[in-house]
Amino acid sequence: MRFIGVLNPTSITPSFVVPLFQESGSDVFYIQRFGAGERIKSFERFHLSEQAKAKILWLDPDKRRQVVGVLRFYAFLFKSDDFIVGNNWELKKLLIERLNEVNGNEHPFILTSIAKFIGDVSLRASAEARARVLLNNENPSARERWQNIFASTDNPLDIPPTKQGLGTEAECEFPEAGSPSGSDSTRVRVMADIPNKNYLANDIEIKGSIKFNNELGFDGIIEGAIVSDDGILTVGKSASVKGEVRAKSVLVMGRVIGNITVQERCELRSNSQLIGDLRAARLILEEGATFVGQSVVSPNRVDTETV
Amino acid sequence: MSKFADYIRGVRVQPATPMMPLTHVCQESSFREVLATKQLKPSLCQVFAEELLHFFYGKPAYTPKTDGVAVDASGLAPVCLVCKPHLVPNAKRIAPFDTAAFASGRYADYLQSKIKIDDFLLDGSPDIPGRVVAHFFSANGEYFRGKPSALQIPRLQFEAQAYYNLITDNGKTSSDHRRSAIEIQTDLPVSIERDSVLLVVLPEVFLDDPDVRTRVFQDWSAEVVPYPTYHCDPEQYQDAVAYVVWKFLQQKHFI
Repeated sequence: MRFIGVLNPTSITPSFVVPLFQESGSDVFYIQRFGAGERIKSFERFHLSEQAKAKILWLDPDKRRQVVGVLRFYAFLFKSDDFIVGNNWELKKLLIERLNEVNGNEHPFILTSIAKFIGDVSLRASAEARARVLLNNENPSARERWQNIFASTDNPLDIPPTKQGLGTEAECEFPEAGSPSGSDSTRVRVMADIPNKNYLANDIEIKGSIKFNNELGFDGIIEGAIVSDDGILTVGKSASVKGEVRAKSVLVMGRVIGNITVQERCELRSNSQLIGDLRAARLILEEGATFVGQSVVSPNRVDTETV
Repeated sequence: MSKFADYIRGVRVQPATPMMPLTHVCQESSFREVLATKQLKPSLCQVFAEELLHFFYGKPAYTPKTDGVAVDASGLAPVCLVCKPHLVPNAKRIAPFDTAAFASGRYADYLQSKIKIDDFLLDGSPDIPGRVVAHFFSANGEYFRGKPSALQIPRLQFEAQAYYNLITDNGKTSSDHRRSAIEIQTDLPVSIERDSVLLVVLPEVFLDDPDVRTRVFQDWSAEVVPYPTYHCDPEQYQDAVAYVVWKFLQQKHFI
């Protein structure tokens, strides 16, 4: 099976696009079926109308890659036929290298998607802020509704791909009717698209500390420290943290009672609460955030080890 | 109408309340046409061999696989419009399931061979979907989740029994949400005016298009929930769309 090109189903650029595959000597098209982690489980036959075939952006024949048994592919189209492709890590790297080619003022929404894909909390906050400005400028009266874009759920695709939706009626796991605000009791969200990103949902209570690498989203209750040498922490809207927080960067949307020390950036979102002292290289404090404590904001990277 | 329609009319049940919104799932080209013309237009329906526009009652129903095997391009960037409940006051006909799925033979194992689509068709009265929901599922939430009530269907009501067998089957159709999605058909174009659309679920990148933003936010005054499209996984999008609609219906107290 070879990767032969991409299809842009929205006709908008810049955008993530769909990698297409063909077997050698065949004109049948396939797309990937995803298995656990980043593996390709199988390929599914893909029906393309003649009209849609004309929209395929073909890879040069000598560059078509043999892909059977390798990691799943992602693709991003900058403009016309300028697209990049690779596995999760390859595409992240390529996207980061060419991020300046995406005009965030003009395309804040795809920038939000990119931020989710590469797992950059700061970029995502910045892209969403630009999107809000854009929407607000166009129709200030609908500000409340626009904010719903980001309030619904961080990412509907963070629900596990194991049929949370209507896919399996008999075993459907929508929250029980009548449960408070669609309780998340049936959902343990796994951000499967970012292999090293961990997520602890709001039905988790911990007495003790958490140490993590890379990236952690926390929506539960903890009495104890959350510590990472070089990781990115998101304290979700439902989260309650009683204890020290140390990481490379932290986004707070819920409640923290304890001191926060971050090497780089700390962001306190609207309606978040921080009762404790804060040390960070950069601080972003959104309107509506509660901060009771002392802050030391130094433009130099804060050393979390020695604090 | 059909024997199934007679059965539904005969059961002593009040329609489930509140009346649920209507969903319409389309692909990029159709969505752009709706944006441009401010109308949802009928197109040729292979099942009924006439120009029809399809909605589903209260839950999105579509499959990214047209023939049950190959994925279709429409599944790569679905747009779901959740429209106000009374958008189609005079439906041409209503079916208790997705007629396209029925016509594909997908449910043949659960229905007697002599039973045809016509045997299940209902008249277009606005209270019909609510009556089907109340009788077979008891409430809107159960209908959305495809959780039928425990029922004893009279023996001679073959069509009602067949439908009940279908929606309670735990076999190979259990993953097919279309089996219980109430289909509402009209042969007339439907104007999409301000407040016609309650919610739009769409690929995030669409919102980078100023025309899309103007139409959905300003002209339609709709709520919008975007989803990112880097996964390129039609089945995951299908689940995500359903999940977003579920959350929306909960927030708005439809379920």
